[in-house]
Amino acid sequence: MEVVVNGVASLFKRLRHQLQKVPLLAWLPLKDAPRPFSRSDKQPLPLALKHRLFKTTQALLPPVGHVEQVVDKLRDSIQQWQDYEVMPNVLVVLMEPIELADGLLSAVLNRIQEDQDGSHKFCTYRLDEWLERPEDYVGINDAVREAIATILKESHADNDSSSPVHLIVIPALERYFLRCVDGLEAIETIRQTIASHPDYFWLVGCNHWAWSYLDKVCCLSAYLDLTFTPSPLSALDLKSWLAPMEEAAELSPFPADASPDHPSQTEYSNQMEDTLDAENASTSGQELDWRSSDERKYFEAIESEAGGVAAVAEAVWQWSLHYELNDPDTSDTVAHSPSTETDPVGVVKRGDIGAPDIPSLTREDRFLLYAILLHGRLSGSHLSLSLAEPQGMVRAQLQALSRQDLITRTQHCWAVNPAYFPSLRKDLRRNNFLVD
Amino acid sequence: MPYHAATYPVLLRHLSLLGQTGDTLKEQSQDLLTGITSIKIVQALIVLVIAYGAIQVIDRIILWLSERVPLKYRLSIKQSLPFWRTSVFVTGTWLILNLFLNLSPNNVLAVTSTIAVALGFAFKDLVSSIIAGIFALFEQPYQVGDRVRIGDHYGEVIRYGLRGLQLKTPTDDVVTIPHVIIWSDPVVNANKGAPEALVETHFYFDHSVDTALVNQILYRVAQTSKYTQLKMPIVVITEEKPWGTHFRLKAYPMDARDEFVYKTDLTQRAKQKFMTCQVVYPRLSQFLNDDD
Repeated sequence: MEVVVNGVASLFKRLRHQLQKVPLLAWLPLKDAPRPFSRSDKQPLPLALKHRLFKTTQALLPPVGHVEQVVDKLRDSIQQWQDYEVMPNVLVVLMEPIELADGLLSAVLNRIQEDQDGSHKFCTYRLDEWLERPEDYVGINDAVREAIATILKESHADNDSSSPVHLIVIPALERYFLRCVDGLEAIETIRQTIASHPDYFWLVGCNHWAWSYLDKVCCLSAYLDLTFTPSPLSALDLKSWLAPMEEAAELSPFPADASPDHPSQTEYSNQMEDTLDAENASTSGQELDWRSSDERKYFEAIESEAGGVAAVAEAVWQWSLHYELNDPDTSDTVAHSPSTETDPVGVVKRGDIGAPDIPSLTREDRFLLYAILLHGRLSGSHLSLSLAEPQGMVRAQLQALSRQDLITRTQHCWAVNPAYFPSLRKDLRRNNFLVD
Repeated sequence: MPYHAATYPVLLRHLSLLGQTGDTLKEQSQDLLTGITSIKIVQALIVLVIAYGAIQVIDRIILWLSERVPLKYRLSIKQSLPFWRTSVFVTGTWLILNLFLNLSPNNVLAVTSTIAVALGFAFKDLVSSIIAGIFALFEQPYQVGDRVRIGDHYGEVIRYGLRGLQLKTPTDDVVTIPHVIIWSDPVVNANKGAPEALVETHFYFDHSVDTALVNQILYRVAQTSKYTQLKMPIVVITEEKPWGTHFRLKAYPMDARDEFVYKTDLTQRAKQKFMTCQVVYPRLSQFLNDDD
């Protein structure tokens, strides 16, 4: 009887999962009720482990595939710009609103400087006066003018007989504006400077939503017409990118397939070799083989939930982890060594993959979350300016959303929890926000 | 006029025919009405309760669903409400009539003509409103969720009933207007089923104002409002008046329901900026003195 009940439940779950994938039915409340991050059926991860994972996340390098793609695109664009005068002198790299282009563009610059092969010699400059918007947002424009003037002066001094390519990098364009009446002047300054200096090549990073917004209000694409979005990460890319995280979590590797029903690891790898060639190409030099079909399914599920977005994938992966206390009667379980006396003794295990659903949102919540995503990250006072709401009201709203784990605070700025990004994007699109 | 002797047989024949017709009508009315029993009365009450319950349930389901689907489908879902309510009403009426009447084609004709004559005299306006409501279902001068102006009243259509519609005004009043008004009065519909509706915000300045600066500020104010639908155009129209220069900022909020908060947001933020730029407002004292 229990088997039948379980079978029916499993069938229903599969049916529901299939229906969720039908775009026309996407709005139906087919998913389970919103789950908070700390589920009662699983132990939360120990604090020490959480801290270690946080540190590892901060230190994660951008996905190799993305770096390769941007480097290739940049080289092509520079070549065309040098060959033909009419070609644009700018490449805009568009990222998802929960990702920062800083790390990716830094890696691209490093890569370019390492591989100076003679055909292109680069002099690179970065326009990054600040990591967060200055409190006095009206001063952004003056600061940008000064920074650009300094760079241009430096580049004249660097000019030598080898005629290098002067590459100026603006790591995050969204950091130079605030959605308020006086908050867009720096963007216009940057736009004008790029257009009036065709002898420099500009590499600009920008958040996708900010780009759509700035394009509508400042007609950016008329001047900065070459954009590039790195392709979504495949399951294999994610596996290699998340490897340091798995190591930090001390997760045991997936056991290799050994049953007669499944091919051995080598056979399995050979079978998939043809289909995975393209994916392998983007992650060359990495451990690429799947150990087992379970491992492949696990990372494919992460890819599907995250839509190939690295930051979301990392959040979904962490969301799938749970902690199981060791049974004192069994001695063969490998215990996770507690880092503090308060940490329980147990092991970290992988669970079902699934991003949490967003709790029900009010219209005001949507305006606030959209404003944060539009700017990437935003301080409370700037958020109040962007929403044209009193600071007290915005603070109260921030506290409520923070308790629901929808947003997190890093230093002075608020950012959206990447785990909720796919559901949030869907919700905002349904409610007529400019998200594409 | 005296009757001729020869005409009496004819009259007698006519009277006898009339008597026969009266008997036939009596028989027909007996045929039309079936026996009224306690069970039928209970059944009729059950039909009434179910119809009432169904209308309530449909109302809730439609409203619940309309708030969950993508915004562009919200009004379409809401606008199906009159259709479902009418369907339940017609079905319920038919079932009850069927309980107490023999609804053969002849009887239906007799009943409808009798009802039509009776209602035509007694409830002329009501019937006219119901018929106008049915016409409005197809012609669609207004639907649930639309923002309309009918006569002196402006607001969102929140209910589409059999007899009339209900408007929610900016002051939160609910105005009931009979459908019959569409026969005679114009209906101005601001969004016609779309989630966005054009909002016009007015600004007035002195003739000496720098129009380019005001234009630039107004565009920026609209572009940086959290409510603005940037997929729709933003337009500033300038007009000279005897007392000053009149600017009209035309833009669309993402949700037509935000119309008034949107206008407030635009006005407040524009005024803040105008204050810092020391833009001159019209000097009306001269005109006021002239009036005096």
